[in-house]
Amino acid sequence: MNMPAPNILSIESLDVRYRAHDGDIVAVAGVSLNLKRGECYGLVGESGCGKSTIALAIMQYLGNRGRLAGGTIVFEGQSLTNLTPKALRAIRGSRIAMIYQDATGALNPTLTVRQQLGEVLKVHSANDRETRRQRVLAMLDAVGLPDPKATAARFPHQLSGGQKQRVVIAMAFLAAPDLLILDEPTTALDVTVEAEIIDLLRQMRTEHGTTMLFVSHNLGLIRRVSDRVGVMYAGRIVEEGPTDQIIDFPRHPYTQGLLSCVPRINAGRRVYGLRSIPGQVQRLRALPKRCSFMERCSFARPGVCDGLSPELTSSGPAGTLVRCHRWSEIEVDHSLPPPGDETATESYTPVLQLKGVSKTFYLRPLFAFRRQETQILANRYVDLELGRGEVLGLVGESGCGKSTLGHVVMGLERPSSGQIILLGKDVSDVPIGQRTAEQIRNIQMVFQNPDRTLNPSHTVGFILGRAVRKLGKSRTHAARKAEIAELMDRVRLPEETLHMTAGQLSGGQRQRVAVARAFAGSPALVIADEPTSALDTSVKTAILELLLSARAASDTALIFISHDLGVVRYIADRVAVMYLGQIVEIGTVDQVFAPPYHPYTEVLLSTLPLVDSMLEQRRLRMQGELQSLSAHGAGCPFAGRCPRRIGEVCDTVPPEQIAAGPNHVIRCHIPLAELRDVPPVFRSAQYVPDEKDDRW
Amino acid sequence: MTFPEPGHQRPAKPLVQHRRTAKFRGKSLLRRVGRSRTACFGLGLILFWCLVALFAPILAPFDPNAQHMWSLTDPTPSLTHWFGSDALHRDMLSRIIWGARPVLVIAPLSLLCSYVIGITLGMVAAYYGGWIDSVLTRVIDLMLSFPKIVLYVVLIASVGPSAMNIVIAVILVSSPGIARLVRGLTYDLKTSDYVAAARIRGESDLYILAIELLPNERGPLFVDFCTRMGYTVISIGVLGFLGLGLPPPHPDWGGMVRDGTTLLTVLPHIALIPAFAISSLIMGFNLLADGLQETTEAA
Repeated sequence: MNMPAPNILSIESLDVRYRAHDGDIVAVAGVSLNLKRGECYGLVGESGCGKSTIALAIMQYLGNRGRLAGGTIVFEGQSLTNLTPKALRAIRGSRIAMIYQDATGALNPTLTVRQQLGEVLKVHSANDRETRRQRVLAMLDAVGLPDPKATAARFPHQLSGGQKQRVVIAMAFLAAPDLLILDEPTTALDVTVEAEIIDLLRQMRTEHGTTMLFVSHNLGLIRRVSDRVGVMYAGRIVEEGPTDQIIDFPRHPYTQGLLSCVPRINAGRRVYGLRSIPGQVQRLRALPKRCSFMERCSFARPGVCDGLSPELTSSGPAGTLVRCHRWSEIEVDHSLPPPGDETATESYTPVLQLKGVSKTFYLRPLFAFRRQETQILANRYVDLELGRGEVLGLVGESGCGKSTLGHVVMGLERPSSGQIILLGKDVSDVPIGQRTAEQIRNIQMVFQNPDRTLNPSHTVGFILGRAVRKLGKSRTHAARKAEIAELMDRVRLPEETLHMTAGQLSGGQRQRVAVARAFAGSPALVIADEPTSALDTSVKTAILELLLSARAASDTALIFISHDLGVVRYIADRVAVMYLGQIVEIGTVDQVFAPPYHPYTEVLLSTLPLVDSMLEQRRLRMQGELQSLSAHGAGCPFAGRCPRRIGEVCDTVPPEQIAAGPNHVIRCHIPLAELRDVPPVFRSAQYVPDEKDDRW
Repeated sequence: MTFPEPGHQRPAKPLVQHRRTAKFRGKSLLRRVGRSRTACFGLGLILFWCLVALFAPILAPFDPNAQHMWSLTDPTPSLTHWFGSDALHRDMLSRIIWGARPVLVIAPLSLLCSYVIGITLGMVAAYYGGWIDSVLTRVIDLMLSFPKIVLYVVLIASVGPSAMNIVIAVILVSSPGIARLVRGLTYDLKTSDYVAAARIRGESDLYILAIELLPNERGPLFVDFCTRMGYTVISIGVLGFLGLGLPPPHPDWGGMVRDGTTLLTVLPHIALIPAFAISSLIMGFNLLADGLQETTEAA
């Protein structure tokens, strides 16, 4: 474009504060940004950086505790900061719409989809009933909901998470807003659903020409949707510019730090290491007088950085801005950091073997006249083997039985059939209460939710003390104390944390304690159930590093359950892909991430949001929603959604396991030769310069 | 200014402090009372009556059962008898003061026993589930389906009024409600990851129930305790009013109200003063409960 498009929204030195019981907290400190008409602007940063606050400030939704302490927000030449409630209502919804992370909370549970959408039209445009109905149905169709008529008659609780988010998007677009604010719209969704929602948003944007403000912590997503990006840190924009420029040539140390936390898709932990940003985002009590990133910055220099707070300065011809004293001196480091210490295990000793493990739950109504049972096949004939020190990634969408498998192996649930052999002993029929102390010590777990993993009533010292007493080797009080200190040191927690309870720790610190607790007895196997999915980018990386180093120290095998393929690519030696309780593909990371793929693996890989611009990703989506574990027929569990379905046989005959290579097994009806011919999902970009291929 | 190396957990000089410092959590319950004016006022009322009960022998100007014939002409409040005297010419002030004792002994004692039973039943039902839960829940539902006051009257009337029997009656009436509350709380908490972590660490069920689960239920339980104290004081008052309280001549607030009702039109103070005593104590517990609830919600 030659002429700069006029700004639809301009924010000038915005200052937002929240009232806390011990004084104000500065959430946004002098942010200025301009949204050009029709562009998608991404705001990225860790939580607590003020991204969402900006979104809320535009909507004037700051709540009781929030207040606009300064600055202006001008939307289409009209200031939003001093509008009457009535004038504000006229703008909200119809001209500026917002989509939140939690779709369930955005929909009224007592209204059907049609009523809710109809309401939007009723408020914002005066159509008659029939036109409203038509437009609602057309919009439901446009957002890709199957059978719009049936969906319109449903209540929100009858829809899946992805469908709900589609309804919310439909609701936003019905009012034909000029500006759409999206606050982490896909964070609560599965990767495959996320990819579909992002596709939908991109399509809606091209059709309606809506300007978007996209708030997310995920750089891969930002790269996929936005034209320009602003990186926020501690209430300020520290770097701004065209998305590709910022992600490929980050100038600010914080942006560089965020990027070095994101796992690459073409190599694992044996090739490079991830670097986390030390420390955590701080809550500001007053406007910072100096660079607020200084404490966490590895480039900080005394005498330069502790002076006045740096201003946003132009850092390149493409319109990039950076807020750093030393940006011109900092090299853009494209090389991957070296891998961490890796002790290669010489001999293979199996720690865990699963042979045909199945777990079926029965749902039985309380007062049934006949015995009506619903079977939930959480796991079906799972075969696995894990050697000492090995890292196995277990991936799949939520609800596919990954966690159940973890629980079955732990002994928290009994398998319905099959054998679990732990260190040479069959423990399949031994529930946790009857296992020997040795067996208990040797298998431990790290949980997903940092809010629920530690008992809020106990101090860290108590929690670790109990773990050491039950699992550790020490028999005397002094020795136990030393062991606790060593554990704290291993997970890099300062000693004063011992006297704190979970409520006083950050999510990352809690997860560190959880890791320390699990590794207290140097177990032979640790099952980590999505340990990083609820954490911020840099904290996530720190916990991954921690898990790896703790594992290396005691040569522990690790089952890493995750829905994030990027993380699995980095951390795992071998990967098992699970769909509806069944392992559909298992092999080494390199085998699974390259053809031949199981069609499901292929879909998962193609939905992964990428940061790396040197790679091109083939787009492949599957149909429909994840079925429930209760209802699938005799055939392949994936048959209903498979983009490569070959026919009747998929629905009726359970697929055999095909050996695709040494230790590489795929469960599919498609002949191996055909699977081998599938082009790889990722290709280096330079091989296909400008070719517009339908499959790409 | 020193520069921490990367990998250092915290900056040398934190720009901000943690929202809650270690001290803040330590005596959380007292802190919470301190933060709410309502709770403070309630606690003040309760403490007032506790002190009155404790120092009854010193505070009471007369023997609560002594009959003062000189007040025969005028039983209304006077300089010698601040609260007047009752139909049997006993000093009202002394009887109110001494009457605080049985209430403040019976109510907490019986409730504590109810909590021991209720917590045990509720936790066992929720934690083990299955048929244990079904049986216990049905029994609890059955007991809760009786109107409380009928249950009290039937129980006391059949075994006769005495302090011990009142305690037993309160236990039987209160523990099902407590058990249900605890069952709900435990049901929520037992799926927590820290409970799973305790199980895979090989902890016993008793340890999990007592150390992992119970401490996390103390907040709602304490609020419930305060509300329930109010109800129990009412119940004891009602029993006294129905003649099922402490046997005479013990000073008993409920009984005093009943004695006064016949003279309500002529000498209203005989019924109203003990009634006011009862309601002020109940108000104390209710305000404390309200205040605690407020701070829980605000936190």
